[in-house]
Amino acid sequence: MRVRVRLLGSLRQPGAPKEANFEMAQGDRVSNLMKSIIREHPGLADVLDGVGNLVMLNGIEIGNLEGLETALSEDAEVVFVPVTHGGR
Amino acid sequence: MSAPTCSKCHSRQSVIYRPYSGERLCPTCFKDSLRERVQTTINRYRMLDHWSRVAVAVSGGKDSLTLLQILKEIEDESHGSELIAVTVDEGIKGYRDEALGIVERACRGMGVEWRLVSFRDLFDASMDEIASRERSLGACSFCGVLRRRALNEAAKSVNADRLATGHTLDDMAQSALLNLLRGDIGKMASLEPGGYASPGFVRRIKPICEVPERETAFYAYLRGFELQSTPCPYAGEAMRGDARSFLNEMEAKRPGTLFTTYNTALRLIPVSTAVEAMKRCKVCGEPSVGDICRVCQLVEKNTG
Repeated sequence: MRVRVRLLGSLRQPGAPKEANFEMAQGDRVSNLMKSIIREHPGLADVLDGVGNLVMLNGIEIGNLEGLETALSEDAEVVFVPVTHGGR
Repeated sequence: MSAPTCSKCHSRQSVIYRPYSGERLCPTCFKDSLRERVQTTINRYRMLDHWSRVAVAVSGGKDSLTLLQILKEIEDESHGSELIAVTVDEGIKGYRDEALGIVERACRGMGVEWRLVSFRDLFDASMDEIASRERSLGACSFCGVLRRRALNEAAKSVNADRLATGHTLDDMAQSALLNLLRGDIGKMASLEPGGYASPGFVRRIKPICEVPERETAFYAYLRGFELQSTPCPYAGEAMRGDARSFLNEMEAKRPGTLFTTYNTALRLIPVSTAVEAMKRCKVCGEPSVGDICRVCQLVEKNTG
């Protein structure tokens, strides 16, 4: 299934597009998506987590759902918002 | 996946959970609750008079943009204080350039007057130049002290009687912890949210000091604020990062840690206030704890 991802502010890598699509398997969770993003952008390994960022799944912060274990769905939009500018 | 109904309006779907209070809020109730909290903080510490002229320190980050937006809404409703955004250009290539554009667009959008002051004008050197010279202290030690002076000068130059800064609950808790770690109990007084009236100093107020940084980030997201992409090149040098990581971890494990740390620090202020008595700097004449103020000490150390 396809998931749209947006990385805001300092999380956005230089030269990276505003939005990217990731192919995920049925049953995959937000934590799986984060691993896929880090595989593609290893520079994010130290900053892409659920503590230093807000993770919005279809407009809802995942702390209000099931956290990193929240299941993804077809055509979901996931937006990462850095809480601390420039890292934690 | 659907989320529970908002704890306040009981009608709309919630979008954010506050672990420290158990609330689940929809976007409207979240924004309202943030504004109410800021209004309560302003009232509790008697931060503003009816006709205060408030210089709002706006760096272009999400915290200061949140501060400006909420103060603008509060003042538009009460037709009370007058707001002027002030920004310090430290002279950090790339980082500050991007932020200045964000501040200019935000102020234009909100209809707030904007003033810019620079390290170059005030101290005859940019932060990049200061950082490139031989120095025993971290860049943030210089930048923090000089920026505080620059903001005071900016506030004085626009005849403000208040200087509002975007210190969040996280900043307050981190400063409290750092003061303890450094054994600097006298500095606790600077955490006083309502600030102090003192000759030569524009009274500093911290209206969003009870708003966690996660919530300014969420507010910025909801409002669609531009978020800066370039991190400060000197940020990694600060000891504050260690305090932040520790407190973030504690807050995640034990929600409410930030509030507890902040409230404990406030209880230490009466003790610390007695420690700090202000004099006048023998070099520049500005208020100072010692005979020579920190700004003059650092400038001498950097250029001497």
